[in-house]
Amino acid sequence: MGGPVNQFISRSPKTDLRAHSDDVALWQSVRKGNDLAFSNLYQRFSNLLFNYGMHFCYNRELVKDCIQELFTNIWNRRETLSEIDSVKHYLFKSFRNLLIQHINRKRKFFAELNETDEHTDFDLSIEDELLEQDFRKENEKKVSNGLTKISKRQREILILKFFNDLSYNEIASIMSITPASAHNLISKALQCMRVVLKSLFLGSFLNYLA
Amino acid sequence: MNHFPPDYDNFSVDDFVIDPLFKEWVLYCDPNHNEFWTDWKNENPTKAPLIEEARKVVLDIEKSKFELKPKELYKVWDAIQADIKPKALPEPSTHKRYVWPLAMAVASFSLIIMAWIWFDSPTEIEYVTAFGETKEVTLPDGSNVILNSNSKLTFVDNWEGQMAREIWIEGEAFFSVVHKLDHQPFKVLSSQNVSIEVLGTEFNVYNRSQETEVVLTSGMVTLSFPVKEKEGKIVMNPGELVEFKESRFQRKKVNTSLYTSWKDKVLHLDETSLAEIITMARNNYGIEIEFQDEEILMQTASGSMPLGDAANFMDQVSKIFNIEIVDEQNKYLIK
Repeated sequence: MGGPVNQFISRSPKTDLRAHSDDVALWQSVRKGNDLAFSNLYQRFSNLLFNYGMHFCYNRELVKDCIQELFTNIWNRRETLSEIDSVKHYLFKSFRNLLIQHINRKRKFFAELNETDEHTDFDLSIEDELLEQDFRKENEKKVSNGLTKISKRQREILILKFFNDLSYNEIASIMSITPASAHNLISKALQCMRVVLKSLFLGSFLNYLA
Repeated sequence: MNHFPPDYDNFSVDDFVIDPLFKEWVLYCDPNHNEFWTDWKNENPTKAPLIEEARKVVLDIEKSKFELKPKELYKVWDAIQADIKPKALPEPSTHKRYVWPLAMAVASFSLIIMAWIWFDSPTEIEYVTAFGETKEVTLPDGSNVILNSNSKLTFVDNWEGQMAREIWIEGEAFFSVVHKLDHQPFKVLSSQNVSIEVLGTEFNVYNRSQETEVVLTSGMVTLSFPVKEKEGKIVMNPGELVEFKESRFQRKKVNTSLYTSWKDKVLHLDETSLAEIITMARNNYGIEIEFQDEEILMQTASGSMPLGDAANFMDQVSKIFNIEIVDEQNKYLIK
């Protein structure tokens, strides 16, 4: 049921506005311990989070573990959760922290195995590189995908903006950057996408000629 | 975050790509949007290449979407449930006041219905109550409905594979809804196009003449109703009553037992006027009531009274309000 329902909810902008206030009402019910509101929250956000997670780190199991942990935490701490303006912002920010925690934990494990501890830089671990390669391969199977050709951070911000319609301030807070850099990063990302798409189109055209 | 109204004339390709309205038009081809965008394109012919480029980018990003398989979705949910100490799902309330023969009659009747449906599914099922009669109905998903007098309940018997468990109500009914593992929504639709989407468990729906009234006992529901061609939507909390009448709704805090006690064959009164009680008697028993003095209708009473048949009901009303009621062959005259 999750798929079609979510699609339906995000279909019209009017529903988006309502979905926002509904989110807040849902959140309040979760805080009061309503388990049906909790399952509704899961149903509403699990796929959005999954999509974002998979672009962040192409590791299906790790992303699913993080979703599980995120919702388990919410329920277990429901009594201490504060009232929030944007449920979506809260979920994505917490989810991103969990993803980084899990990736680091995994990396530490591999580092110990290799008896090296030089993989402290977040963007440049061997494992990430491997996952990144998997991601590109997987996506190249789908026809001409510009997203595979842009940088990781550009991709992340596009996913947040395009699929989740978060505001620049929210995105900035999630990615720990300033709103101004969020603006810049998005326009860079889209600029790259357009260049890539044009060259891909040209490429397939040339292929067709040859 | 919300673009109302967006200044499309000065939009760049990038602006279009991240505009939710534009994105929905490209992806879902909503006919309402279609008209708007076709008009806009005709008014701004120079922008056509720009739109085309934005369209390509939108389609390309959309292609990259990852989704959980339904199986994975449930698996992760089950893992969450296992982590947070499983809590029993709401059970349908069981009322054991039914005598065995009746239960068996109902069972064999539903067997016949099921056998029939087996050959011809899905079938619309209808339950109707006569004046003075209430009926308890178990729905295909195990949810429970108590149907008040002079009411009608309609649903398609097989909800598997449907978007929602949908049910139509005319009259009055009390719902205890079970939560399904796959979170399939439960929707009650009234004749004023009010739809009640259930996240929670127990609520009462009153839908007579031009009025729909919902009282929520526990859990949570969202109500959608038509307001000036648009759709309004509110989330109700337990202990609330929402009344929808003449395209407007009103929300108030109530003592829910006043509205739901009928299901236990008791009527709770709390400064309830004689006029309200007469309306109720007319709706539920289908009797005609006349009165000599209109002023008496303003009198109120509090307390509770058992609900029996029409004669018994009117007899009690006469005692509570200390008035004389004459029974003239299914027509009652209040003096």
